[in-house]
Amino acid sequence: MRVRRNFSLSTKALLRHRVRTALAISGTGLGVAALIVMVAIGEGAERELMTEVEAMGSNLLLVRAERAEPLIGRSSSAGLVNTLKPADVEAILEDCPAVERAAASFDRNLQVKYGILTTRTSVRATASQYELIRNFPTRRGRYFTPEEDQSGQRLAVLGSRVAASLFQGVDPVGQRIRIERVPFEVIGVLESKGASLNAGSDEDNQILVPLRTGLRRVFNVDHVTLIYVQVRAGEDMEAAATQVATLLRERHGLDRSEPDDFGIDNQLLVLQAERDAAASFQRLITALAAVALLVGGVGILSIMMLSIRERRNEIGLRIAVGAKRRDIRTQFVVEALFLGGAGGLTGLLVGTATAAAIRRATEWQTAVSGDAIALALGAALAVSLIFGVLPAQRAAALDPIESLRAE
Amino acid sequence: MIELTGVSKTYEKGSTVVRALDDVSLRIDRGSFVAIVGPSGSGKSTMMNIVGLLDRPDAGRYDLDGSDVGALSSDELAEARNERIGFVFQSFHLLANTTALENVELPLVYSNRPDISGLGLSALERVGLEDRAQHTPGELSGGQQQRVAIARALVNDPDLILADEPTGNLDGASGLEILGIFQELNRLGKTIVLITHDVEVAAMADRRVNIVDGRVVSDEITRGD
Ligand SMILES: Nc1ncnc2c1ncn2[C@@H]1O[C@H](COP(=O)(O)OP(=O)(O)OP(=O)(O)O)[C@@H](O)[C@H]1O
Ligand SMILES: [Mg+2]
Repeated sequence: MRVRRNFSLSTKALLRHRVRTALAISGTGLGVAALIVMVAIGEGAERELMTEVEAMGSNLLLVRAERAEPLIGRSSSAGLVNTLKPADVEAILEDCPAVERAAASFDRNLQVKYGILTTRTSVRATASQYELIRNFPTRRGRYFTPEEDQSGQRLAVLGSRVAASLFQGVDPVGQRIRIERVPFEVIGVLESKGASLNAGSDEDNQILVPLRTGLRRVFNVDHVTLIYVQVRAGEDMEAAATQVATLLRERHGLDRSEPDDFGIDNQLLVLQAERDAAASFQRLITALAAVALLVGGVGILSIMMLSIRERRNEIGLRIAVGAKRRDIRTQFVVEALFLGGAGGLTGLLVGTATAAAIRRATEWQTAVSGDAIALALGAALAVSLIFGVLPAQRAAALDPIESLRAE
Repeated sequence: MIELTGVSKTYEKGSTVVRALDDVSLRIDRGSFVAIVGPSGSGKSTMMNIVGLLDRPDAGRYDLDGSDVGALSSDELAEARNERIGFVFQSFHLLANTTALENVELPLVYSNRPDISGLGLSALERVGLEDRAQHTPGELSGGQQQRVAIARALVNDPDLILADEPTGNLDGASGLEILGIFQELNRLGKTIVLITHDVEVAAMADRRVNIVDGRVVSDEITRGD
């Protein structure tokens, strides 16, 4: 009964001082909104990264052909260098015990025709192992087999977007397409991976053809641009990379003084570095949000202090008509919590809206999770409690006689 | 019912010591109407704060309704103020932007009574302001504001009403109206202790206690009925 009477009193007091109340609410609101937005950005980045890891495959080494070039950090563009050969792949599989699978790849943008429809897309010559290494199965039909590759069959597996744009509702499996005039039979359609984050490499917009067939009939080259290497589960990625590098240097006849004519990207390391960067970014923004909340808390503190100074008469009167110290303290703590709660809700709305706007306007996949909401509201209440207790104590300790005399 | 025995209160301001109350002994019976008069700074308000349980004496003893209030905790004093004492101040002390009714109901917020419905309105009726229940102090005249304050003092039906210069901020006519209410309340059995500078106001009481420099210098019955 008393608590309820006290509460309705607090809300009335806040409603009487609208401007001040609005100020205090917007202070914490800003802090909470900042917290929500920042956590949303961080969480979005984390989720993006996880999808990327899944799409990429985590135990993947990427061996790139590279011209042996003394300039630091310069790798020449793919296709111009011919240091990697299909035979390197066989050697890696045979001589590197840490390697589970490997697949060579050569790709280029080419014109593809189905009937009278034409499109330009990336054509990739690779081995059937590509499916397992890249975790990229077919949605319809199948991949080519190693035997079909060996015998130089003209078979094609379409990315989902190529299939959609070229066939427009017709089932592509069994149909004939022409890649640079060479006829191929479509035997499968890949599952959709969705737009990749690495700009310019849409993996749904490609056509896979058997390695030998592709190199001979389409590209007319004897080298490859990439070798995907899948490391055995439990093997150390670095050690596997060293095995591959040592073997390739030996095969390419490089002596000690010569630099590598290839580069090896450790996908896990790249992703981990990205993830660490995202995590430290998140820590930074969380700290910033904490500061914003703190500022909001100080706002509540100073506004409560001001309010109590101005309401000394009222406090003195309340004590005279029977308020106990604890009633006064409760009243002002409730007022502070009310400010914090209202600020928290306002901030939640503003923050969620802002996060959504950021998602629309930028490439950041912001995500507002239940945890973030609980954290933000909890933080707002905690901050208002912490910063509300001091003014409430002050109010409760006022001398009623002096307070009544104050004008 | 009120019994002060050798009550003293001193204030120290730097090196000067002010004896606001100096060994005051006074007895006020239930149902009486007492005016406390005296020059400015003589200790009238100090005495009212002690009688009203807002302050404690440095020395001496105060019995209210036969029990020593010196033994009560500050929470118990708060409860006693809430249930047994009504205050009326010179400057009304109404909450701004708050309706007359809500102002009157303020003491009920701190009351332990289970049923408080209707008490505020009936207190307003007793001062003839039930039709102004939803008005805020800014919309009321000084006299009306003081009547709201009296209703607030009455809402918990206390036996004792303490009024410190209740007519000090009012014109003559409004002041008389307020005094009329006090007389009426006294007739209904309330004990009224009224502090005033004004000889005419003091004349409305049954008894006049004169305080100078913290001491009771005269105590006379002005009306014997
Ligand atoms: N908190 C205080 N600190 C120091 N001195 C005080 C305090 N309160 C009252 N006094 C002093 O005690 C004396 C009595 O004050 P009190 O307020 O009781 O006088 P009063 O009779 O009510 O005067 P007035 O008619 O002007 O209201 C005065 O000298 C005053 O200055
Ligand atoms: Mg006084």
